[in-house]
Amino acid sequence: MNEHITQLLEAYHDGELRGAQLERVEAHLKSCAGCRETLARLDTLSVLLAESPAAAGLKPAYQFEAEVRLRIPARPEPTRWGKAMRAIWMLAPAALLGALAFLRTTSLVGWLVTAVLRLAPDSMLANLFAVPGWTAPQSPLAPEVEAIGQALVCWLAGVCLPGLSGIGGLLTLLVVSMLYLSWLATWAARRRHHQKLETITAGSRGSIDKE
Amino acid sequence: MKAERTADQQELDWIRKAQRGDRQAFGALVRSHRQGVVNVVYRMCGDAHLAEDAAQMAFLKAWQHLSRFRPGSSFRNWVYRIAANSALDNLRRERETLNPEEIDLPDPGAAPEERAEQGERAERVRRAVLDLPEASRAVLVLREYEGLSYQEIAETLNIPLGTVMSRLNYARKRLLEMLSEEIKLAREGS
Repeated sequence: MNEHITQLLEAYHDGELRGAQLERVEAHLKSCAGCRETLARLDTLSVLLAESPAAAGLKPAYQFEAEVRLRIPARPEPTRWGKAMRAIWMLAPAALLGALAFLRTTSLVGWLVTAVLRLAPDSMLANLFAVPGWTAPQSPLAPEVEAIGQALVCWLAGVCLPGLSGIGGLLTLLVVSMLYLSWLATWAARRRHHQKLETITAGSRGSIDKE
Repeated sequence: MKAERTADQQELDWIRKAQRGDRQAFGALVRSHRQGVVNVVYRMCGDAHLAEDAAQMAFLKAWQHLSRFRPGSSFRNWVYRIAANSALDNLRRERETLNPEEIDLPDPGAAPEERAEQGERAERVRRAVLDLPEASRAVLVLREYEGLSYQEIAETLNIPLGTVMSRLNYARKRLLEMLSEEIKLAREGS
């Protein structure tokens, strides 16, 4: 009997063989007394190992469980995803305020630039925003019509881009307030839920200890 | 089959709840796997009290690192791995005080002669197992006492399948040598 069959014989003993390998070992066993002897010794070894008694004098299951639960801290380490979500959640109001501040600032700067370019197109400040080599194309519209168009565009921007002024600004503040209040309500609900969970688990721990 | 699936679903439910901090759900997991974990640790270290302590430590570690457990994989294999490592840690700590020769034998007392003989034989087997190198012993315990497949052992101990086979082969070869007399007597008796 070669070494390869010895390895297969052990896998056969453990019920790990399938298909062709299983058939091969079974066929081999029929003709090889040495392998049958090895297999019998492996079987006997398993019987002897199984005879070895399990641990005696152990604590009752409820006591074991109660001791484990007494030793564990209140909450397990949160998952990596959970940690990330928690960080995002805690940073949500700051992000919201940051976004609002950004929009307000960009809107304000936009208004300032527009005002400077319109009121004093040749000033030093206007030159600061000028793009070298670029000249504004001549508008085919009359200056009055163009002024009305610009005013309309600015008003639309105010509505569509939050944080500008008028209705847009009001809407933005309303949305931000609603989001912030929702965040506060969710935070309070989660806090209540965790407190309830702690009370339940602490109560059940007590009842197990009493058993 | 359906009952097995329901049990798996129930376990998955406990795991998810425990991962969210539900100690009651974790208690259910402890109840469900206590026997197996204590058994693995006991077979690894040979002392019941040490085994219980190491098993509790294993569950404690499992709770602390529950976030690292992927619910799709086997919780039993995962907790067995922690238990095996916990047993080895305990053994290393207790090595100076714990000697297989010094562990109290179960007193056969007034048992019938045949039963006493069986008890002595079982004790020799236990000592032979404890005499194996730790790595081989862990593989043997998971295979012979917990009935894990080679693949499950590989996953549990995080070792290649080939290593499982070679360690198991080594452990059995050593045991066949150490227990040759017992094996001979058992075969003659059967």
